[in-house]
Amino acid sequence: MALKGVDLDLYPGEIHVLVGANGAGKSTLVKILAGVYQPDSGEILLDGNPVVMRNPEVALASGVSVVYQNFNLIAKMDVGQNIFLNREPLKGKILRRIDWRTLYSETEKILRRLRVAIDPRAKIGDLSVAEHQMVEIAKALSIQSRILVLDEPTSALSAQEIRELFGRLQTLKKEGVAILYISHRLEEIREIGDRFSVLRDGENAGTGHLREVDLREIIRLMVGREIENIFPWEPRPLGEEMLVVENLSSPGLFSGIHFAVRKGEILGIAGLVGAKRTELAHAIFGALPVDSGRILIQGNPITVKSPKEAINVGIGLLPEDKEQHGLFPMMSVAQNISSAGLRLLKRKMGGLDLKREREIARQFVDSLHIRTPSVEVAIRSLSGGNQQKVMLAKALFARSQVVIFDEPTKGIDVGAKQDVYRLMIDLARGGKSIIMISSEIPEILGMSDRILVMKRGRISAELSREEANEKRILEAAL
Amino acid sequence: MNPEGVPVHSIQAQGKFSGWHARWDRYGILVIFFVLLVLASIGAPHFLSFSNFLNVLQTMSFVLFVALGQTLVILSGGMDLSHGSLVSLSCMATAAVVAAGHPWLGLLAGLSVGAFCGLINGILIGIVRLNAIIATLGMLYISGGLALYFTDGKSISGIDVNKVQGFHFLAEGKLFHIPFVIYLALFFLVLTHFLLRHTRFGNHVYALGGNEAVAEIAGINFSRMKIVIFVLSGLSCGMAGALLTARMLTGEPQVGAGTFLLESIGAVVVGGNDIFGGVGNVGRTAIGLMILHFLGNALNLMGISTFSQQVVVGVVVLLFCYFGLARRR
Repeated sequence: MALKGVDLDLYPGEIHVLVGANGAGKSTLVKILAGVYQPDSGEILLDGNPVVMRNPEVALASGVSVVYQNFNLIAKMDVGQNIFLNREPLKGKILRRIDWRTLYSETEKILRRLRVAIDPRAKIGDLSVAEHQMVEIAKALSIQSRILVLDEPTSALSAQEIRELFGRLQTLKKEGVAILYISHRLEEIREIGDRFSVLRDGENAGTGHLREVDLREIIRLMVGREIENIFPWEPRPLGEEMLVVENLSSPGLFSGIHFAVRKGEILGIAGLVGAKRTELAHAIFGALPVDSGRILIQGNPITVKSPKEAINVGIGLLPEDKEQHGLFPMMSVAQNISSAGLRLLKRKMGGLDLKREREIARQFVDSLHIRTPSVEVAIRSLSGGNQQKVMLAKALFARSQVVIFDEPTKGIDVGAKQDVYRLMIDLARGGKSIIMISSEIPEILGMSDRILVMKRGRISAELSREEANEKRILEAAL
Repeated sequence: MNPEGVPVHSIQAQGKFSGWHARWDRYGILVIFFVLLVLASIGAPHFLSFSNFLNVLQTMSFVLFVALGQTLVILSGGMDLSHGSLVSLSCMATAAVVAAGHPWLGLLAGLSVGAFCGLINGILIGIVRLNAIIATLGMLYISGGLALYFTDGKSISGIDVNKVQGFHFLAEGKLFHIPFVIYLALFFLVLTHFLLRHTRFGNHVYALGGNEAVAEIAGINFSRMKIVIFVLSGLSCGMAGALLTARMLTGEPQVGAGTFLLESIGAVVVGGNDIFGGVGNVGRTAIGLMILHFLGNALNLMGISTFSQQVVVGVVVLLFCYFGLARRR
């Protein structure tokens, strides 16, 4: 359940800002408005009349256009084709055919209005991330819509490009378009928005006029009050340096990354979506190439060109996207747990010791309190929190000394969150080194011994637990 | 953070396809085709003659229809495995009606059977949302079985050429010394090209093949598109089946098995269309098919057995796949 009884109203000629932590349900709300998802209950009223956004076609026809967070462009097609997809201008009386010349000249006009220098005939796949975002915005702005929804539209843009976008939004606002603007960037919210709503854990935590509140109040609504005491953190003795990353760079992703993690330490990495934290984790894990810098484990330089090598030197990764990168959804709990450490199950005569696989899986199920009917059920039937624990068991079975958690509590409920936190503390106490990437600031503050903040592929701040607070993290991240 | 977003390497790929790369990407296939023609002219006796070329092109034309249908399907991100049997079934349906004395109704029967089976494919894929390969594999069996079932596996013969001359002309007649079926194939080639390049439908075929989810979010109706695409694909088989009957004046229950399915996919691949959809055109398919047919013809003329020919053709297909992939990496 991603959303619970959310009420939201939107007036013509206003920019309504929607904020909320990752996983608060913002993107789900957008997709319901756009007809991509269907709500279980509740209704959408347009001009006071109920409308059912049965599919994207209907939503578009009702005047809703959306800039999605995960870019919705077709890489194999060019800029013009993408902007005018399903709205291609036609010519000819009898043979209605696409007017390509108009399509490209219109595309050029739209791009020029946004002051973007992109060739209308350039293939999307050849463009940079920032250019994708501009094309996506150009596409949404070019649709004659009454309701414009922008989901994190500026995450890849430069200050200059953001200026242009805001200028366009002000014009549209004067023309009476209702704009729903979703963002993490608190300072830009003030600049652009009229009213705001805060989503927290799928509920509307508050709506108001931006003029009447300060950012502190919005952050408080985003975070919630009772959040502090769910973190089981307590002081621990730390050991020697376990993992050292020196000056690591990957072209187009991140550069000059420099940090160390000690035994028993939990290092939090904070930052906005798009700060390239996941990419850094993947690079340390050997899943993305690096072009300079080095990684040391217990003082010894290592080369990790593949996840297999990373696993062998004791690095474990619990990816954010469980289905895509972390688990084999159709396979059993036991098979998932053993999947990164099959070398440990090899029998002398060849083949795998499947009996031992199940025994070890049972031990992990007990020690990590994984709720599952047996170790033989398919992993996809487990809840998100329990899947997270299975990923952890997998990393532990492969004898990881350094465990990287990427958004460890995304999309799981508070109870399961606490379980995951407790396991993290247990691991740290047992001498493991933990890197925790999280977009949830309370989680970062509550769990980390030390905090790195990343911003556009660089480390923008390093804070000790004592000196860290929300404000400092946000300042370094924005 | 953004798993569905931009693959990392696309940033580095910027400007990679400029100059010679881009040109080779576009016209390389033509160069290869002409090199093949020159080599064959030197190596194979009697290859370089007007009548030989016309022969090859005539035989090829029948396959071109299904290859055009297959191009539509593959560009939209699917694959139609039912082609082989659909051609056979359409051929049998046409023959049955023509033998009863109604040649033009027979043509209509062949087309209808193809379109109907295509409609079933389209419903299974577009509405039930079965995987295209699985749905059309089922149809391959079903229609293949039906083609054999009604006559107990026997051919339908007894069509009197004198009574169906107009119908026979479609496949065997000549206009200005060139087989009529070549004009027909050319017409449908141009028609399909127009459909793909100049209509919304065509543009949406590319969009579906490029990224299904994005196409749907743009409001493109997935079910309707898939149904139309597979009906057209089935229709292309109906056309080929009916024309085969017109040529042979018999109904052969296994005429499409083997070559038609293999060559319809083979032509698309060898021509350099993206097997995952989204990129390509019918010109590439036509050249791919010509490469397959002229190569086979040259090997024939050099006295190489049909069995070894198949090995050569297989190697050619793999080579083209390899270079096609390497190009896109």
